[in-house]
Amino acid sequence: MKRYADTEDYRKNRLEWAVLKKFFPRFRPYMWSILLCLCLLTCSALLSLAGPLLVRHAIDVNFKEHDTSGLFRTSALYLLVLILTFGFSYFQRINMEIVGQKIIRGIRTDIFTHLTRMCQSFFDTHPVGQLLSRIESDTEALRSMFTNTVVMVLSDILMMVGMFIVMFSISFRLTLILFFMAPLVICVILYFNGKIVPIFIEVRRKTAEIYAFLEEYLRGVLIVQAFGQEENVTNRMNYVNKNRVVIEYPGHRLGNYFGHIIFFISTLTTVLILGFGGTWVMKDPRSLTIGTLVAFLGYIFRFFGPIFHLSDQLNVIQKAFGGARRINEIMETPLRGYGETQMLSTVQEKKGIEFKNVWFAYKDEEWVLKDISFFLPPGKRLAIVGPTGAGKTTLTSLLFRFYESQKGQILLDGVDISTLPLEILRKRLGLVLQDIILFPGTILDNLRMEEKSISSERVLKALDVINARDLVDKMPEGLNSKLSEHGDNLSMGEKQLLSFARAMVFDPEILVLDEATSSIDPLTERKLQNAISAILTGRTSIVIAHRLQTIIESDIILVLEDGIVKEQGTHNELLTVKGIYWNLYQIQAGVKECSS
Amino acid sequence: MLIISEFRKDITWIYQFYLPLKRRLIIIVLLSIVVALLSSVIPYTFIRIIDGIESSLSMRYIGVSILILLGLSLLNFIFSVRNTNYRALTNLELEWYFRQNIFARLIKLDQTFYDKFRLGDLVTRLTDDVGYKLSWFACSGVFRAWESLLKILFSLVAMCYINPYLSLIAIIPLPIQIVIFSKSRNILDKRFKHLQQVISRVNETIENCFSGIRIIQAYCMEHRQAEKFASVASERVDAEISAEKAHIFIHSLYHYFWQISQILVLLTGGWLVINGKLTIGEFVAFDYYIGYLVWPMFDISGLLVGYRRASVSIKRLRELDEFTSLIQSPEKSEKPEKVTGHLVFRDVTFRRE
Ligand SMILES: Nc1ncnc2c1ncn2[C@@H]1O[C@H](COP(=O)(O)OP(=O)(O)O)[C@@H](O)[C@H]1O
Ligand SMILES: [Mg+2]
Repeated sequence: MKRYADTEDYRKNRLEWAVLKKFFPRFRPYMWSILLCLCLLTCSALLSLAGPLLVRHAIDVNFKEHDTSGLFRTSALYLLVLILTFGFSYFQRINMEIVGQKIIRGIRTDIFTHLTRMCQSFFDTHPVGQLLSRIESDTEALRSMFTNTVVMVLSDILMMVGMFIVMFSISFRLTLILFFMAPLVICVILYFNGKIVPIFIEVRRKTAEIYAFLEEYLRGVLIVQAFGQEENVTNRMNYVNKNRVVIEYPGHRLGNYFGHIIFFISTLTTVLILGFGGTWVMKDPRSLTIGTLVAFLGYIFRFFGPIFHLSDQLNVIQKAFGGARRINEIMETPLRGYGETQMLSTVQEKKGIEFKNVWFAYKDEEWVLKDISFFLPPGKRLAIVGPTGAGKTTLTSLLFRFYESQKGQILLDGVDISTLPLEILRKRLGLVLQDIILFPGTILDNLRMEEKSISSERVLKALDVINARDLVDKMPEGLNSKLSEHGDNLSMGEKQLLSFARAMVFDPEILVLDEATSSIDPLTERKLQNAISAILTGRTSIVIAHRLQTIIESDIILVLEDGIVKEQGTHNELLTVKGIYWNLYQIQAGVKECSS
Repeated sequence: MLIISEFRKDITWIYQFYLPLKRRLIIIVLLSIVVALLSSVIPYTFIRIIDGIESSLSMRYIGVSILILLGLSLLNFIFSVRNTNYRALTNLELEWYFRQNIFARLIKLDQTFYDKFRLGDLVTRLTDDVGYKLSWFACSGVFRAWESLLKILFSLVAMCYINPYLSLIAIIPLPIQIVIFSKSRNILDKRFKHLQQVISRVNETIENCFSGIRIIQAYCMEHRQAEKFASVASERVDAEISAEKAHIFIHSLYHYFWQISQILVLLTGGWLVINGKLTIGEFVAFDYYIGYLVWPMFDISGLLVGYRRASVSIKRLRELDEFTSLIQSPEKSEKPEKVTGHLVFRDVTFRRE
């Protein structure tokens, strides 16, 4: 209830056994460790019951017989029991922690690995922050349940059972009194739990509202200020803020009543035991001794402690089930294209890339690409031009099979790519994007993408091809120089060069440049021209660019608008058509000022 | 010295928020005294009851004693619930005031401020820092510790009243515990700090991987990322275990150390009982006091931990509070009769910080 960011719906966290069952095989390698923990747990739980018994012995035997050395022995035994309890419980907890951590590491690594292979549409709907919380919080909730709650509940149950056995054996009558209090305690727990849980569901919703409010208005603070709405917004914040206090306070009040009532019941039990027990002791001190009475007081003290933390644990358990359910959801999402090792052998009749009447929509029937067809022979260059949002990036995404087209076929050397294993498909492709993605780490690792089997010679050779060797040479540690996050310690042009170099390191058969030079100024772009030519010569390539200068030499130019191929041909062919491309060319060449 | 001046700054910062709640806070302070008094008197009734039973006094005598115990407990219940509810309400209201106050300021600050602080960071400060970490500490943390302190004090007085020597022996483990606790605290802090760093690294790995997932998939390098993750995850397991070892040790120590007092009381108290210098009732009451004092001790150490956490949050909030905007509206200004829309830029230069 203290986690504010959590806005999940609590009612979904039903406690279904099947949800947890999936995780059982992960426990198997640690069976012996877990068994050892259980033994230690049992020992420490049972030993912790010895205290009141020893006090009873002291009062009834040592005190009565004025036996000082006996008292000394009893105390020494108590100390021994204490040390043993401490030792057992310490080793049990450490052991459990180690097992728990290792199991969770396994789960985390598996989720991570699975996530990296999800298709792009998954990442469209799941922002990085959310993935982070899947890998972190959801597994953490599981671990917390396993290493803390399960152990605590087990140990409490063991202790309760042990306590009842001991109490029954020393006084049947007094135990009955405690027994009669049990239904009362259970009723109190059920009553309060039923009332408190819905309140905290509501509190979560209100907390999420505060989050949303803060994000929205702090993000748009300029607009708020521009329209002079500061007072207004502050008042609304106050309303949202206050609303939460109004909702949350009753929950805390109920919680306080719960705690105090349980405590009062424990006092009531003490009173009953003293009242009845006292009369019995006075009537017949041999059937019930004063030591036994005192021991019972000690047990009552130990009896009500677990009730508090048990009711706390319900929250943890619910969280863990929610986490487990979401983890399962991810792990059960099938991965398309991975693991299919054998390739369907078809006759490779026609080399090159072919789109055959391809239709694609990200959502439902909102077609982003409509009936796209073209053929790109090997070694040739295809350029795609068109306004922003025309579907250029989408088209190349389909080639990588980041998404699957709904209608039509994409053929690579005559083979439908949806029948190709992703690994085989993508090993033949290379991609350079507009937003240059660099990772923190060394330049070397960035260029070879952590693939240690690629030698630094090969990386240097790739840099040579695009004439970018001096970029690395002027760095203090050469290839081993560190890049900061997003490569912030490099200029835009340098970053772009590195992303070209990355493509060169992998030397793909087919290269896709998606507005690769759009984020740099024309001057730097001209400097990069050599690098680009070096990359493209003799390679099958698809180039998306806004500046037509870069694409004049292309073998085929596609003009895309609203997902439709409006014009197709070489530069000269398209100019003679005098259509969209011609218009665009006129504007960029500065011949025509504007067109509408 | 530095710590003390920081402490004073923290306190003065919180104090301004206490002011509107002054009446209720005073009630809390006073109620705490009543609650502490009641709960340290309750074990005292055990002496009458147990000794009454032991020496087979009349049923009436014992019955009256038990009724006194019941009555005191009922009073304690009533006052204590009231007090805890007040504290809970104050926690929530403080959170509201903290957030409202800072938000009202932020919404008026100019772009230089928003250049300096990221949105996510601001939201965290206004929710996470303001919430549990700070407002819980500002009321419950402080005033529960106050109640606990009184409980300990009153109980010690009651114990001394029963038998001063036994009280002295019973609190022998206390200073030892404090020393061990503060020594191990440092180790714990160090290990948790290391753990925090490792966790940040894990998070970075996750974030970087998924923000560049298109490129990673395009080059079929998913397995390399998985390896990288596995290696930081292993590093994390080591850090977690090492931190948890220290944590569990301290926690267990806390959990079991007070029982040493109980053993000391059993030994010396028993010796006194055998020699007729202490009644069994007094012995039982003593035992009860020791067991009962554990929770206030926990509360006080909780205050120390809570303060460390809260003080970090206070600093983060003060930072927002003390940010002075470069753009100041003049205090008084004459409103022009009519805004004509005539705008002139005269020799304006501008430089970013
Ligand atoms: N991941 C996505 N999910 C849903 N819609 C998308 C996604 N990516 C792009 N779109 C939509 O598809 C259309 C084409 O986008 P895109 O291919 O990126 O265009 P271009 O690269 O030509 O600028 C746009 O209307 C865009 O809003
Ligand atoms: Mg695009």
